[in-house]
Amino acid sequence: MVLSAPFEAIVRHRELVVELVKRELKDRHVGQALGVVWAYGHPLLLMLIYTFLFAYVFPTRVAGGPGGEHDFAVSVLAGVLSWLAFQDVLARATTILVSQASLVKQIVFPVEVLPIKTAIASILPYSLALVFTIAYAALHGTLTVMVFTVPFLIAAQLVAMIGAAFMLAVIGVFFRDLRDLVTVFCSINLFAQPILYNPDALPAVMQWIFLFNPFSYQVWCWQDALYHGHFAHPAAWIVFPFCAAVTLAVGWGLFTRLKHHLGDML
Amino acid sequence: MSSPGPAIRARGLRKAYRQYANATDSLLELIMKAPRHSERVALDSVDLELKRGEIVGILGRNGAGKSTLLKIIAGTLERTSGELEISGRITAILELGTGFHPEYTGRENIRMGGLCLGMSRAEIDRKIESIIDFSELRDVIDQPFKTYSTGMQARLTFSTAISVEPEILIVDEALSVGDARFQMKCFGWIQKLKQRNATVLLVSHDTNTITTFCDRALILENGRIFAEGDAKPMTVLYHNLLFGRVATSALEIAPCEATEGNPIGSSSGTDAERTLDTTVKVAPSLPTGASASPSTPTSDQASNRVRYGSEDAVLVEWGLYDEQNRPCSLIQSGAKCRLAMRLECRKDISDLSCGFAIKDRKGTVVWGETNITHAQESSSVRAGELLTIASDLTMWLADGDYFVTLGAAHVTDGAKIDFIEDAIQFRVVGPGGIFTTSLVNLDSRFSIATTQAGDISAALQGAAE
Repeated sequence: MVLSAPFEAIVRHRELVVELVKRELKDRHVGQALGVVWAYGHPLLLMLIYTFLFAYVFPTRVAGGPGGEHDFAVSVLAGVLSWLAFQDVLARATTILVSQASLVKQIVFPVEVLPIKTAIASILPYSLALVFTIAYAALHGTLTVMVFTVPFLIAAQLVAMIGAAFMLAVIGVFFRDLRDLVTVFCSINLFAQPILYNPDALPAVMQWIFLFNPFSYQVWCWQDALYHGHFAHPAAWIVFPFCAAVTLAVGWGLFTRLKHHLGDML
Repeated sequence: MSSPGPAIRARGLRKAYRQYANATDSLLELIMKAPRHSERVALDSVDLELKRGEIVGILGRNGAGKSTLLKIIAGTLERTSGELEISGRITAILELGTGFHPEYTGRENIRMGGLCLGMSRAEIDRKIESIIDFSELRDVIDQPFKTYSTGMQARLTFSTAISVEPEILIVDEALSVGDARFQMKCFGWIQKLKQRNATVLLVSHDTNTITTFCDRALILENGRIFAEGDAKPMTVLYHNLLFGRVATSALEIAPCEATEGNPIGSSSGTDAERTLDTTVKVAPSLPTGASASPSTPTSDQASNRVRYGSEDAVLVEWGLYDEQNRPCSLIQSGAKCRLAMRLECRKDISDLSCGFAIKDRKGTVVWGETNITHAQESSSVRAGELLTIASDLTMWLADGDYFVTLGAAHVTDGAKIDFIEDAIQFRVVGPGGIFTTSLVNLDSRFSIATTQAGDISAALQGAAE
């Protein structure tokens, strides 16, 4: 089955993946006084800024849920968290093969390890931010038994991220402009998801945009788990895992088909 | 390792690089399935067979396709067409410090490099001490890789790469940056690999390395195998190729005999021998004895002697002569003799340098002398002059076959005027009583004596009296 192949690769090269992930997190801040603290601290700081903005600067109270009014900041945090992690891998994936050209070209090296480690190294630093978000949700009473779906959501999102990394990494070699396209896409996409908006005051056209943006389903799932406290978007719980699996299958297929040509292009 | 069959077998290997006029053309081509590229052929119908336990050298000028061939065998580059079978764990040292991060210490880089080469962490932990020992970098192993010199980086790369105990090792000039002692150590290690039946493929521009370490060599030229055979004749042929004045007959014979006539390195032993024979024929034949006959460039080409230079002056007569000035090719070690040659000048040359060099069978220069080394000054000659250049010698070389290279060149820019490789061959019959592997005759007298206590100088004094 096509979906098991990438996992077999992970298991086979687990030591290399672990070492490369460690190395990447360290490398990003090599030579800095706080080093790896930045890797984890940066997402956490972003979370604090969003909390400050949506809890104190634009305080929004939304009717909903069994507990009556909820702090909208929890909804924003849940959405922003999942998007930031995903955006991280999108931004890095396009250049991983180009920047590691010597590894890809010069030695017998399992190239498929590179997108995998990039995805893992992108999602890992958000663990602290996730803990913060869950704690914040608990503090504001939006946490229910739905919090136990979080591991499933993490797994589904990681699958989607690895798939996207495979896709972007290999296309990025053949089409170097992809990096800039992705950067533009990332800045727009933040606003094309149901994250920052008060659902009570939204034009109909935005509803349509959300429906056609696959990233919305991921956001809805996270909001259900941490904010709504129940399956408020049941369709999202089917669409999100399905899309994640398809992304991985397509990404892996594309990667394995094109990786033989990498040596010529780098 | 004991599995039968060749370690590497390639048939009709071809590699064409696609060149795109536009950055997006490659993507469009993949999507539309319509060709949008031009091709540059780097390798064309290369047939290759490497047996287990064989060390094979690859020679070829820049751009001949050596690196492409190695990368295809190493699996980092995809061939365009052809068959390639490889059996055994393969390690390639193609470039220095791949997978090595300049900010990390040597030790951390060994760990990472090992993982990238496919070792497990336990395996690396087991080997890391021996890797450090081999690299001789224990003092600096915990300092950042970027602080190492090029040679030290090469040592660490090599030490890490070989620790995977490959069955097939591919080395692309990576060794040339190490110092001589480390190179010797690496070659010693390669010999050990060979004894364990591993196959080694070596690219080097140093023909000495090829003749000393390789069982066979092949020359790549324009992406094809130009010739293949014993290491020594191949290096001579390669030298010939490099310096342009190629015996055209060799150029014409080699491709048809070596790559089309019979596939190189066919599996049966007799075939392999035949291939070897034909290529040896292609290679310059060594003159037997002293050549006293006047020789012109054309006659040199006919006999396939390696000769090159601008021909501003031409060597016309040469030989090794005994004390009675008779040409000789057999000399008793310790006897007096004389090397001589005549140079016919066709142009005025103000900075002439000329002389002789004696090489042993492996191609190592064991002696050499020119007017520059002798008197520290160049000679000035006029067109039409005929010079006789001679060097009186006492033959202190030990038993063996030797070859004399004659040469004339400009001192200022080093441009060759007329060079003849291995123009004279002679044999020295040894002093006897010493190692047969001895290179020189040290005119030794061996003694054993019983002496009283006391220091060695006293004992030697006593023995002398």
